[in-house]
Amino acid sequence: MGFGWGNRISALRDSLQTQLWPMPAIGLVLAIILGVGLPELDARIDDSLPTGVTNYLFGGGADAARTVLSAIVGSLITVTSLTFSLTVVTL
Amino acid sequence: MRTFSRDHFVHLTLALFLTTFTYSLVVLRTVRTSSDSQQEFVPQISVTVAVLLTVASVLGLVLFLAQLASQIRLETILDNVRQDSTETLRRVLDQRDDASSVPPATPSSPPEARIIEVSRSGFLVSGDEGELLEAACEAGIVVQVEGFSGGSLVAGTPLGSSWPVDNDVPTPEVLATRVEDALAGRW
Repeated sequence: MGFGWGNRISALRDSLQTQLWPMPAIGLVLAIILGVGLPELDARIDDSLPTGVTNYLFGGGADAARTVLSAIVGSLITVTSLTFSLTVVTL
Repeated sequence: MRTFSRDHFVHLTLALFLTTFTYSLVVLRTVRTSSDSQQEFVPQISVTVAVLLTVASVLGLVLFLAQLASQIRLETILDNVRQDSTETLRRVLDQRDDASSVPPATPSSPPEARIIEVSRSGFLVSGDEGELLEAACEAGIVVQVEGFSGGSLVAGTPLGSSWPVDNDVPTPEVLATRVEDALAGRW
């Protein structure tokens, strides 16, 4: 035993470093956790926040919030595909 | 593709974009307009965080483009090739002793040495050392070639020099063409 372990670990690390998916996958999981957790937090403390803090937060109604979020979703997926295409074209 | 996908910056940018996208999508699910059955709910902190993430993504896009522009520059590509080959050589070959890595002393050329000029510009591809030695022995001279494989040749500049072993033997004219034949170049 012990023979080739270092090699195997370095090969695994190399393959993880050269693959495109691990870091975005971590980001995805983080995003889902955040996306579930923060609205929960909002539901608890939004009504009891001091005005000094709420002035800096998003102040619109539900429709405005929905519009902002869908704008972000739409533009982000466009930018992501643009980044991918740029990456592939450069190769 | 490997060089590019090994770049942590590309990973980070893609991760940031996809995180923002997924996060916004998940938060969008929780926004409710008021109706008879439910109360209006706007997650203020979450929407603010989404906006901040978007600003970060725009910044990331600009930095990514700057990085891309510097990545496809010739200097960067050549430097990457050099780094990769050095790393591979280190891994494949054994470390040499310091004592054996000292190159043997080269004879310094006397002032009467004839300079071998390059006739055409290009690259030195290979040198036939046996052929060169044979030509030098026949003519009774010492030939010193300073070019190395892969080096560039510029017409009219010296490639090396030759001088006779005995001072009375004149350097024959034929030698120049023989040296040129022995050193294969790509023009």
